[in-house]
Amino acid sequence: MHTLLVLIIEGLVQGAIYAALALALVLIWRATKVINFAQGAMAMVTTYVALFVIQLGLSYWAAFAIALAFGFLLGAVVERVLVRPVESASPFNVVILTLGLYLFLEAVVPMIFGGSIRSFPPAFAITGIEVGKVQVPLSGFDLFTFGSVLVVVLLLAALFQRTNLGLRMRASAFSPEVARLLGIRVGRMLTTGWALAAVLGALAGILIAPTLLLQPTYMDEVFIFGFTGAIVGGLDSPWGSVVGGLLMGLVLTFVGYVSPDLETLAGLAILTAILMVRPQGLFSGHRERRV
Amino acid sequence: MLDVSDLTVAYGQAVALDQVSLTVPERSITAVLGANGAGKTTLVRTISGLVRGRGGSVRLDGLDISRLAPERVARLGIAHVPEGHGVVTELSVEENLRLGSMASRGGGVRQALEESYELFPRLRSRRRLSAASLSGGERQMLAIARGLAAHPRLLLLDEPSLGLAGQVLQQIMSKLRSLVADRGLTVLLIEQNARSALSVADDAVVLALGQVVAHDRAAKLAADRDLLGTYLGF
Ligand SMILES: Nc1ncnc2c1ncn2[C@@H]1O[C@H](COP(=O)(O)OP(=O)(O)O)[C@@H](O)[C@H]1O
Ligand SMILES: [Mg+2]
Repeated sequence: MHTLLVLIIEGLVQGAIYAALALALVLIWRATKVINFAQGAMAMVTTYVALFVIQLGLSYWAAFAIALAFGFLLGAVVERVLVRPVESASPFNVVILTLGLYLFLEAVVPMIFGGSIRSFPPAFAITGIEVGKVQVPLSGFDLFTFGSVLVVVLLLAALFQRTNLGLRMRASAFSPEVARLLGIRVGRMLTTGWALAAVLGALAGILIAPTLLLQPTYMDEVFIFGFTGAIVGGLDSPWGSVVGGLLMGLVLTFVGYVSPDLETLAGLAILTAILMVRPQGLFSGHRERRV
Repeated sequence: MLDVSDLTVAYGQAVALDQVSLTVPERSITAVLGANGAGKTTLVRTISGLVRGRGGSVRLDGLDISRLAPERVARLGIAHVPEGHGVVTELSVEENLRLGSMASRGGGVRQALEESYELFPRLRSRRRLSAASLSGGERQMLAIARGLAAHPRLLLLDEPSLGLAGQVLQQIMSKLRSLVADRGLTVLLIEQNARSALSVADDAVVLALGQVVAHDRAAKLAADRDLLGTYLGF
């Protein structure tokens, strides 16, 4: 019983991180109709920036805020400078571009920050909280991880559902031509979408860094798991991707409990199985999809 | 108000509009008629900036808008209700209307919504529903209401009669007439259905194979049996 509880908590916390990345991919999918294969690598960059800030002597919270802000900027610049010029031709061009960006970032980061494995501090203790005399299998950092993803997801939901900006962004994603006829600067909305997605990625990157340790490739697996979560969720459904990410966290934690070596393999197996059996995901209304 | 002169538009080698010139006077309804493929949709899409002309100009009160992006044109007070309505089916009825009102240069969202629901009471009861759940006629109503919610100076309507029952169409047309009189609205009305368009319009233009073959008072064209027979299949 106790073990089961531990695994569920751990799974949900891991899953929150995959959910953040999955949601990032969905935001970009809805805006540009491509998978951003550089999503994980961009998060890796923002986490290196956070580590740099910490090493300058600033607090974790300053680093956290700067990483997210840097993510926003990085996402906007990538869309504006790299994606926009190649977008009109074919979605394939954008996909190739994001793959190129992924390779570029993983190659250039060791040149700037060094390639060795670095530790990254958590925001709070990673030992279990004590309630009375009992130690619960839930650390302050677990709570922070789950809570901050929850807050950011709810904020985004409020932005998209309750504000004029969110409405404009949705209209631009669903129907760019109609949006333009209504005076909406669709290009700006797409840039904002990429920027917000990169903030989510930055959040995932900084939250998982203490567990995985920082190195240029440390987000590769997280990307695959987040991607799978997004596919499970149907790729065009924000809530689906959050649920998909949490499911991935749970399943992989259970698999990892049985055998840690199987975790990555299991992630790939789920991805393959979903793509073969139900490519539209578990939660999507749509049946077909490109790329 | 709107001056189109010598406008030429081509898709690759195929010329869709060939030196088209026409004027739309302020506070009036001008109908553009013509058979399927005559170039009517191309004309409105070029005016609203979705399609680039190859030559000629489009002027709004003297300002050349032919090189402007559609979002800029919309902000100048031109609302385009596209052919096949163009409602955003992933959004609710009310969200579609809100989007329209955001393009408005005056008046609040609330007022725009209220006006829309007054014009089409059916939309009020469906306001929380997804636009995808509307019938074809209701979608057309939504698209027109959304165009009007922007409080445009110039409204471009591309085949609004498509999917609308005759009675509803009549009602919309009389509403347009009163907006022209009361609010100074100007309308460019694209129609294949010549009879209803000619009855409501002040002026009319007939397009055939991308060229203007007639441009006169609507009443005069309505009486021209040869013209109607040749180009509009009467
Ligand atoms: N996107 C396009 N690409 C190529 N040809 C087009 C396109 N849109 C319209 N056309 C052609 O341009 C001509 C005029 O079409 P259109 O403006 O839609 O006419 P209408 O609205 O009067 O039916 C037609 O011959 C049509 O086939
Ligand atoms: Mg047409």
